[in-house]
Amino acid sequence: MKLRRLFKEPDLLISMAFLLGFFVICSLQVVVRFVLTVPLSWTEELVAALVIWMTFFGVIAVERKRSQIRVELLEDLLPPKPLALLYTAFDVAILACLIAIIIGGWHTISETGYQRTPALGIPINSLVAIVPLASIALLVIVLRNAWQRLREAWA
Amino acid sequence: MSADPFTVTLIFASIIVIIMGFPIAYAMILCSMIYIVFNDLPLSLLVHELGLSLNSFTMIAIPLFMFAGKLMTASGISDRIFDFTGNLVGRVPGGLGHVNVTSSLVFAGMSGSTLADVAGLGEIEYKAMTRKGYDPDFTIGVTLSSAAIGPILPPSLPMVLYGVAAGTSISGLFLGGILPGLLIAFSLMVYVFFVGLARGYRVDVWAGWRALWISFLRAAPPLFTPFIIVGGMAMGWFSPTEAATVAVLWALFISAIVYRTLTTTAFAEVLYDVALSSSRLLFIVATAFLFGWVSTFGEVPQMLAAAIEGNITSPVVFLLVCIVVNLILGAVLENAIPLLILAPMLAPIAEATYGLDPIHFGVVMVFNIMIGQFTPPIGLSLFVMRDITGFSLGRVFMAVLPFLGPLIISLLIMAFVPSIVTAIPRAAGF
Repeated sequence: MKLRRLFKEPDLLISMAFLLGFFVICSLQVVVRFVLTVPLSWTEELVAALVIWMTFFGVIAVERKRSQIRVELLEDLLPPKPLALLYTAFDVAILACLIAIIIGGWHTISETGYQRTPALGIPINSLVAIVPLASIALLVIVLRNAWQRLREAWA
Repeated sequence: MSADPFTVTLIFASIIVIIMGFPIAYAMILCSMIYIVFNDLPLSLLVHELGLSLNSFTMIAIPLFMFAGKLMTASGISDRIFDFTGNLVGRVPGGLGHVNVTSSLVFAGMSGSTLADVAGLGEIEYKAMTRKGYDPDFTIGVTLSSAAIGPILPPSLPMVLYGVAAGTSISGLFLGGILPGLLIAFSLMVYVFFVGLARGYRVDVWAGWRALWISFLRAAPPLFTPFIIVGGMAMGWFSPTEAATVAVLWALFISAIVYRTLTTTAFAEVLYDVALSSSRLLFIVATAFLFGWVSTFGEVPQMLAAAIEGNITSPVVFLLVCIVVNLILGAVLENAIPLLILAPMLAPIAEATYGLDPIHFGVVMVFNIMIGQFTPPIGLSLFVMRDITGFSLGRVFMAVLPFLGPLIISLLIMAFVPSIVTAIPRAAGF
């Protein structure tokens, strides 16, 4: 892998940075607890927040690479055009899900604005904001993938 | 008690669309979204469940165990392990078949999943065995089936998932998986022994104690990994997440300092793979929690409990029914779904109604569902092996089919002889 190639995948690069970040914080906690015998109170909150952000940035990359886990039984059984139509129908349903998440996310962000985590006081809405934000990116990618699939089937 | 028929219909509909090829994570979101809209509930529930279900410190163990496993694989330990186990058991009738099983046993102590075992060792094992004249189908069967030890011997990603979902002690589950892991290896080796004798497979020449000792020293650092993880958790020193962190630190130490095989590029590749695969898995986990919430709101667990308690009085029959249902679900669904949705529904019934030990039930459930990795249509391990060998999926499945016998026998033994699972956790005070 060329390291330079990573910069062409910013979603995954950010996800990797979060992964590295929470590994460093977890290591710090282990060292501080076992060497200095003083447990840190804030690490669990920060690490849990980083995992949520890592996951949803990573999911954008998963969708971009079309590598969501799915049963591929019909891919071997159906001809390309009916398969493309079936998958387009699936994409429409996925778009409906993503729009629902974006609308729900808008409400969640305003509803949870006053809630904060106990140790660090991180606003809860900043933890969950990545869910609707990632959904906006996913929406664009699902549309692009659907368009490409239809073009390939009829090429 | 009867569940909301609308919820039950939605759940069955989502299983059908999953089989038709709808991405699994989105199928669970779609089912939940329809339920929320039709019951006039706020859409913000979707975001709450998706985002905050991952807000758990224990969940962090999942990407970290993946990280440790990938680092170990990247450091080139597969060859060292194969070399060591070759010197250890290569002269037993069945030869490299036993080497294959024991390599998986050793690798399982670092990887935590079937897929990691197949991806990390599969190619080396397949090439080594077929080059020495072993039948390719037999080789595929032994390679895939021995990878079933991965999710049973600690550290185990499916056990972390099960522990989080069912509220069972993860340390207890890890300890409970030790003897069953050895049992699976033993049952496979018995099968390999008889096939080896029947087909007259060539065995390796005994290379002597010195060669065994040297190969052991070459493979020794990674061999300590399971002892560090299990020992630390059994002694109460580490939580599962801390054990996973220590496993990554240990893997970094081995690959960067002891073996000096970890380059910057290799490290970036590992991070890349782990970020991608753990995001994919954790997204399914989040959607499964959302789906589980819908099931609970629709009173599906209560319906399931009432149906089971009304028809089954014996714990033996209950376990048998669970095993059959999980074998079917493990075959048609991604393993995380039955682990995260069905397990939390069944675990309280198993304990409260049938008096089953939660660790015993958990280990049996995990292995039971993991056998689905070897059956179409969604046995991911079959796809990895197909890519390694270039054979059709059907041929790979037919190759592993005879090996399901020893695996299912091991499952039945651990289900009906609970002490095989509970002996070590009891001794450690769980």
